[in-house]
Amino acid sequence: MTAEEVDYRIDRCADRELIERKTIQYEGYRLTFEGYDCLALRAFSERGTIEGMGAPLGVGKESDVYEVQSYEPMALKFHREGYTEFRKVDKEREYTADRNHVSWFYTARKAAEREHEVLEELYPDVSVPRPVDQNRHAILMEKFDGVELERASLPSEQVVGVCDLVLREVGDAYDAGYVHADMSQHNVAVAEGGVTVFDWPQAVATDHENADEFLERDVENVVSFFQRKYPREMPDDVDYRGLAEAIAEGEFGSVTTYATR
Amino acid sequence: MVGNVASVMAELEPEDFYLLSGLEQGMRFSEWVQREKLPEYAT
Ligand SMILES: Nc1ncnc2c1ncn2[C@@H]1O[C@H](COP(=O)(O)OP(=O)(O)O)[C@@H](O)[C@H]1O
Ligand SMILES: [Mg+2]
Repeated sequence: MTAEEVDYRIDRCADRELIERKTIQYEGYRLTFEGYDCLALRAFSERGTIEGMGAPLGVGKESDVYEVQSYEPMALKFHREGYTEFRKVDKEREYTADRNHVSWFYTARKAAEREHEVLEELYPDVSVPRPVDQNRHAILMEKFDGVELERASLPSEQVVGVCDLVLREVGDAYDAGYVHADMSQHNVAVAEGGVTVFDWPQAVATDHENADEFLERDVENVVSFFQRKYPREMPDDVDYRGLAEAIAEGEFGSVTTYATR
Repeated sequence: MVGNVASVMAELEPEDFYLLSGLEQGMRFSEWVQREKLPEYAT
């Protein structure tokens, strides 16, 4: 591109906040996350996996998720790991150096690659969204039905059954070689047809040295949520460790077996 | 960009994407890409 063409393109992209400019020391540019989003979207549309954008499905701690049009409606998750942190560090050092430069692109892209890879390993043995495509910091996957466990109001007679279903998915994932490591009421959806466990970028392999600690913490997170929200249906005290061990051994039946009183 | 990503995508021209992917290339080496280097990255 000629210098004039570059000037013109810079203005267009800056107006749309796809790039940002700094002028201290030298005039420099970088992509914003929106600019990076456009590059990923362009790649998906060239491959034909995305035909149109839809409404936001959720804003998580570290992502933006949209409904998109493909051959059927799907979910597109843009990873944002590292961005907020990066912004903070950047402010503190006031644009001084390029030393120790680890871009948020890299962190976010690694997270997307990792999540896509884990979904590919787990699907369909574990009830996770079916992975469809991945580019840069974005993953395209099946859109799941239902609402997050946090927002669901389960009828009394289903509480223990749903808790067991979730723990069974944890067990199936363990069997397939992974511990989720961020299990909570925010990362499980419940629908008529069953449960879906999502948000896997931080998953650890079962041969990781801390895998069993992560498993126990995941189990405790799930069960204690059910205990807090449904105290009348759930046992008061549960042996989380025993339960986690049973899940790892593939011997899990129901949470009620692990009630300690 | 929530909400208008689709309209921004629709407005972009191939050359806008050259610039964006040129910046992406340049950002592998430094956080900010000098303006003078853009014409060579954005090809
Ligand atoms: N496959 C999907 N189908 C429908 N909604 C989804 C899907 N994946 C994520 N979401 C929505 O986006 C939110 C954030 O996604 P999540 O994967 O948990 O990212 P984060 O790491 O930011 O928590 C979820 O709580 C959910 O509401
Ligand atoms: Mg989440």
